[in-house]
Amino acid sequence: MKKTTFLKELADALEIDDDLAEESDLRNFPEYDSLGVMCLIAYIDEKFGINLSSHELARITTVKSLIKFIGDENFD
Amino acid sequence: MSAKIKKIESYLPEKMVTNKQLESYFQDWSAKKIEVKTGIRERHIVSEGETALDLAYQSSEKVLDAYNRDSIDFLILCTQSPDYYLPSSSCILQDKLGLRTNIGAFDINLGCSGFIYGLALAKGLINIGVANNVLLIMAETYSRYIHPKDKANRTIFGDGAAATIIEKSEIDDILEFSFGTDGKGYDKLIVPNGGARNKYDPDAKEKQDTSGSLRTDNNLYMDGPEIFNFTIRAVPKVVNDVLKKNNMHLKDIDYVIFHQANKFMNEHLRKKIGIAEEKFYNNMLHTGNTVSVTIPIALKHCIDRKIIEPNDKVLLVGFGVGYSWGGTIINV
Repeated sequence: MKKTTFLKELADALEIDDDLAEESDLRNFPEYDSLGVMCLIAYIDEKFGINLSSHELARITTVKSLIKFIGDENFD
Repeated sequence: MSAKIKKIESYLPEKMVTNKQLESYFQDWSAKKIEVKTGIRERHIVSEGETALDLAYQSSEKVLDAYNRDSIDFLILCTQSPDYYLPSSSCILQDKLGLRTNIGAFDINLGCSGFIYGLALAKGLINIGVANNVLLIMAETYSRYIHPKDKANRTIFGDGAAATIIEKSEIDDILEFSFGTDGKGYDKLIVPNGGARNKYDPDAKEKQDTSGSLRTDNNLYMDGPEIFNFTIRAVPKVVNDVLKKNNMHLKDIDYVIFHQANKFMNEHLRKKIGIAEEKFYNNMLHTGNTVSVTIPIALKHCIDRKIIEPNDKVLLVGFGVGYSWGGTIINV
């Protein structure tokens, strides 16, 4: 998947109106609440078949950290 | 011996908590967003002094209306909110309902998977010739465990009860089952204090989580993300296993009812498994997540509104607290 596509789809999944960049800290968005976290889990499962545990979620800060968790090999 | 579901009735307590009320109570909580994301607009909650046993009684009286209650020869009550540690609440219910005393009765302590396990137990009792007419009741009051300032769990859970009569039948209308248990997830949906392991602590400290919800260890705690991950791992597998055990494919199933945990989560599971939208029940608008009661409530709703017709094959799957899960197929 292209990173630009991922950034757009991630924003859509979390219902964030702003454009996301790799440096964007998800914790700064009010949309990234307990319901937003559910959306993130669903999106990562749907697109990459990966489970995001609570432990791993606690370590997700920026979009870049999420990309690193998913694995650079999954992106173009 | 074979078994069939004869009749289902549900009962919801009168007191309601709407999203609007939650919005006024929790500053950054939006009524509209709650409804869109969770599929819940309102939930019924027991009043002071009202217990799961009371709800069980009400739903049982409804199902026993125009039914010969003397023919009930076994009673199973599934609840995680019993009136007492002992005796079993099912014994008290037998007496309240005026059932015969030469019958069996026991409680089972299960949540979201309870109805599936209950059906299996009822079928088993009939199959071994111990019972002909089983009264199976799901009754739950998680609201009693939830901290008043726990906005996340107050949003999700509702109280209720459903009573089902399962009868011996010529044709097997309750088919093969698949079950699962993984105790590694025991602490992902738990009331830590008040049992034998940890005493109730009158001085328990309030803790705030990342969503701003408050609770103590005397209250219900749920790790939403972990529960979601568990369902993603377990539910597709149990669906496949139930179909395999019944020599069926998804296309042979007329309708699917999952435990109504969370609209968003269930929709994700539906898409992941490949169940057609028109064959999938996803409705908790007026009830919230009533734990073991969601499946019988959904089943009754579908039968009454002819969403499910006689001879339809319906796949039922319960999953959650424990972790515990199970599935079966019934002929309506």
